[in-house]
Amino acid sequence: MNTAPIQLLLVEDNPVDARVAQSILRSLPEELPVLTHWVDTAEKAVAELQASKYELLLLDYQLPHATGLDVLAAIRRLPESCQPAVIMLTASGSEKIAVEAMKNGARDYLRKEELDVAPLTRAIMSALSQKRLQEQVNAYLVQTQAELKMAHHLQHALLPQQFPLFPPTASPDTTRLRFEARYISTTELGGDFYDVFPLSETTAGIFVCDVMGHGVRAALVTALIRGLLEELHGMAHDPSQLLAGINHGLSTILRATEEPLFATAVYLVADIAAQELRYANAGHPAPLHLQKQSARVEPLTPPPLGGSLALGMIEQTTYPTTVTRLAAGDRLLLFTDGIYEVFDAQQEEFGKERLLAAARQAGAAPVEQWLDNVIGASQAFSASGNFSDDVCLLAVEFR
Amino acid sequence: MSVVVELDSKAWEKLEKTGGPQLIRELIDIYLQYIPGKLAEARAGLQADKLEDVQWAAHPIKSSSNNLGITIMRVLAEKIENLAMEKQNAATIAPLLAELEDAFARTKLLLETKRRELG
Repeated sequence: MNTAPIQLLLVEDNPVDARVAQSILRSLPEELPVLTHWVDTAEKAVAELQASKYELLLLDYQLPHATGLDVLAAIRRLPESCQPAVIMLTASGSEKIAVEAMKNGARDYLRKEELDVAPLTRAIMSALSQKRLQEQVNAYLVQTQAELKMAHHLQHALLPQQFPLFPPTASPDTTRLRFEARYISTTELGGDFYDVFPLSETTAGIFVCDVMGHGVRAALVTALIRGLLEELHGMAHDPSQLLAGINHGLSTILRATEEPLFATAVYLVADIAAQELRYANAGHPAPLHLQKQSARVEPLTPPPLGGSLALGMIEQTTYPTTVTRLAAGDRLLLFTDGIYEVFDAQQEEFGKERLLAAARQAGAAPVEQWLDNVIGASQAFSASGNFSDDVCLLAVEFR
Repeated sequence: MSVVVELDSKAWEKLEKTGGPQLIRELIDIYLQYIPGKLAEARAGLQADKLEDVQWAAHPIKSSSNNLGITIMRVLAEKIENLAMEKQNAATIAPLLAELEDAFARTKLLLETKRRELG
């Protein structure tokens, strides 16, 4: 078998030790051919690594005016593809140094007095195998990250790129239904989804859902739900029918999966001509209704006996429609639980009550600011200042 | 008191096995050329009370001597390295350094004989 020699850089200031090491390296088994280049200072080692590619570094810990740890630090600053696997050579009784070297990226260490063909062969094979495994893992991670990034862009493309205007001839300033959304995912792929679509010149369908968990699995289900939404467009005037249809479709698909998976959702039909709102809820946090005239904020709770099971759990579930009045100046806030499942240092939850208070407090602000203020209140409450789950907020303003 | 210099046969066998007489010849040449400089550095360090220099000079003497199986040189160099590392006073180190220099003079004679035998 013709194996290309391993490019090895020997860093050793002591010429006697260097000559012994070179001799041992020449005596390694045939299947481990090594081409050795020797330098005697840390500076020369770093310069050599910058100039040429080495797969392996046999590094003496104690060098003039530097230690092996300094060389390890310099190696970490090199591009990953130029970083060799390092075997540290230490004096006897230097186990602490060896541990430190391993923590700083050395793959293995050998005590100088045990430097011989067998231990060096073992150390080289182990170091190279670790390095190659690491390279494979890194390549896999790079590929996975690229794929996740692509999927992230695709998932965002599934969200409305612009909101419909009511009536369609209206401008963004004169539309009678105005929408604003915020979407914060904790990973590349989120499990939240929203959509807004016109049902007529005066009626809008408004949908928000939250798939259990996040990541690839949840994102795939959001894509499924979006597909079902399009497929069931004919039912979209009736919230009850639409949610039942999505539930049926989702349950059928998810039946084939091994692990249980469900999604909560709320669907509203806003009719500006009739000045009414029809909505149904599938286990989703109740949207908030900010009533301009009374300055009250009320949750749009489903009827007491209404089905509130999440989508995908039981195939035959009903989701009764509730009707409520809408008045000019009213606002709706639809959201996923990530906005209020936020904890302070004492592990107290931000909760729905604080969310309602924040929505009320900022209710007079322009709708964009309203959403940002609500998000800000939750973040300010959080001990970490961040969200631990995906957050989706959708505001609707009746004008 | 003069020290007795002996060569560790196991170390020489290992070198013989790894690189044959050629390696041993080369190592003797390198050792005899390299160690005097390190002894001079240790001596200068001691005189200037720069124990770090003493430590840096003793370390490779220890390591090189170990490779060639010159036990007494390794042991003395290790003691000096440790004392210098512990920042002991120069007076403690001075007799050991003198002993090391003496050991090297004897080692040199021994290695030169060995070198001649190897041709």
